[in-house]
Amino acid sequence: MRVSKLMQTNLVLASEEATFETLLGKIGLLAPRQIYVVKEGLKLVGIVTGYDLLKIVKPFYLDSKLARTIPESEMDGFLVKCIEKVKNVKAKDIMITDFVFLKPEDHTMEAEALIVERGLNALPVLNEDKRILGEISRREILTYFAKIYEKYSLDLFNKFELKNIQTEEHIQKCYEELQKEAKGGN
Amino acid sequence: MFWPATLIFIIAYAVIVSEKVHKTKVALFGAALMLILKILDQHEAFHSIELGVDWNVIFLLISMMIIINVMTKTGVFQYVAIKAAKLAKGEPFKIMAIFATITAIGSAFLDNVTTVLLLAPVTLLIAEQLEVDPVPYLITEALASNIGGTATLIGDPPNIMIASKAGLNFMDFIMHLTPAIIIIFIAWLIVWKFIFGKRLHVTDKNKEKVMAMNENELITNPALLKKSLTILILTIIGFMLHGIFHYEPATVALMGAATLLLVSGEHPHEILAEVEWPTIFFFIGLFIIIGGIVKVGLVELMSKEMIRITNPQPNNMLTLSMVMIWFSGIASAIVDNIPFVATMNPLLIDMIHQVYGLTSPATMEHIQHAAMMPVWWSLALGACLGGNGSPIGASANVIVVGLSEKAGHPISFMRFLKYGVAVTAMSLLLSTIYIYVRYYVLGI
Repeated sequence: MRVSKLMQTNLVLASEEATFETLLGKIGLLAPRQIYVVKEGLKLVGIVTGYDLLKIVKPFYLDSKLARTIPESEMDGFLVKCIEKVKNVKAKDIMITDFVFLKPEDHTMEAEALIVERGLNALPVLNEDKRILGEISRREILTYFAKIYEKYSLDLFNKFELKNIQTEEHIQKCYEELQKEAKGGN
Repeated sequence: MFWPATLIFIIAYAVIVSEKVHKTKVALFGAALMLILKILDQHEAFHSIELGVDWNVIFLLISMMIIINVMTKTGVFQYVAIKAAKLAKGEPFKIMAIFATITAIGSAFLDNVTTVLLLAPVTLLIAEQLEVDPVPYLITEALASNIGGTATLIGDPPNIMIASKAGLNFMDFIMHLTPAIIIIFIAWLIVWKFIFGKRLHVTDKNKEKVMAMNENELITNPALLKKSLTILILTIIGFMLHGIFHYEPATVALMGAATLLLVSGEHPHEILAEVEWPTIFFFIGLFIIIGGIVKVGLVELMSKEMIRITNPQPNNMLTLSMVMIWFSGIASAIVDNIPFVATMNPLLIDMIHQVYGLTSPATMEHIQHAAMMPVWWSLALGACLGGNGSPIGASANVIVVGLSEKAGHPISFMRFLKYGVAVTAMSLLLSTIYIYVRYYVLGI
């Protein structure tokens, strides 16, 4: 399967001049895997991931131990202050510019290998002019794998609403269901 | 071999000062040249007490680094810092003074850089909560670490080197340097009170933010904390008694480090990986380079020059002591005080030979002669306190400047100098008065 057949084309884009404030809004409200930073002609120049935004908000001196000393009542105020400090930082100063990409004609297996080799979540798909066309992620590839394996039907698996699993009886029932499912899989 | 050795020494010194190449690379390459050119043979480099690597210094440094590496995992310093800030009720100057005291005491027993690295994050967080400029706090901590480190044998590498060369023990430093440092520290804080006392203001709301901080969260492994503190205290007691039981300081430190490794449950690979090996190898390289210039007679020439300038007498070396404080202080503000002391140590030993007219190696009787002791203390005070003179004068200063910049508060060279030069001048002046009054007026 060619990457072009599998890729997602509904993406979140930003210009190089977009501020942290804008990027935070986009990633917080539109929930993309990553934001693609483009210049004129929608040519990809960088990628901003959720990790990049988290990294820039966190003061460098604050490790997880020290963060625990801030009382819960003060935490939101502290966070807002941290965000205020970086709100005007531009996408071009946050983005990763050293990225790998795929071409539409590349094979899904190549995408899978690249994702595994580099430990990435998703890869952009670009044409010859470096214009962004889409994105291929771990999920698309795994969904494709599951589909070509042709052994599953949707009603085979369930999700669990953990909020509803409160009593010992519910916990036991849930675990029995998982065991049954595992046996069925064998 | 005089000129090749001299050339290696001068070039190595110049490159170390220029900071163009990492100092460890320079020291090791210089040492390798000394050996390959047969200025010093390998046996002398590794086994000679007069010319070779001072293993007492090396093992003392490694052992203390091991103890510190385990201690840092306990979170105790940061706990104490937040507790202290709360005891100060969020008052900005009180916090500054208490943090300076914690840093000074920490640096007297541990490595200066580690102390500063542990306190800086808490300082930045508290400054953030108080909404004050963290720069004066960070500079204060760097200055305090250099002042505090001067107080004990293990506080600063120059003291370790001087102690090893002059056969001085932990209590000698406590008796002779600690009083000077207490005087300097108190005087400095009084001056600081005038400068910062009225300049730092915070709102009650921000003080409450500090009061609400939960320092208990920092102690994640109380069992490790108990073990580490017990062994640190026992090691310090060991240092205090090492002179009585005739153990070298390195033996005491090694015992402490090995015991802590054994009982801490930490994996030795992880703890040993955090030892500052570049610093250790810098020392090794440096000792060999200095051994080379001692062997070829360069140090003898330098000591003759010093004798000509300061005219030391077998029973009185007042001029030498006074010159030593200021010369060491100014030199250490410009160059790394470790190579400086590494050069001065054999120079003083050679000078002892000449002043006392010795033909065989100097014994402790001459090295620790009553007239000579103020000179060793002057060297220690000058070399350690001089580090405060510039942003590059001591490793703690370099670290603080770097951390502050990373936190978005760059400290310009001139801003550091403004505080550093004044504090250094004051410390050296007080040291001069201390040495003069104690050893040349009171004679105690």
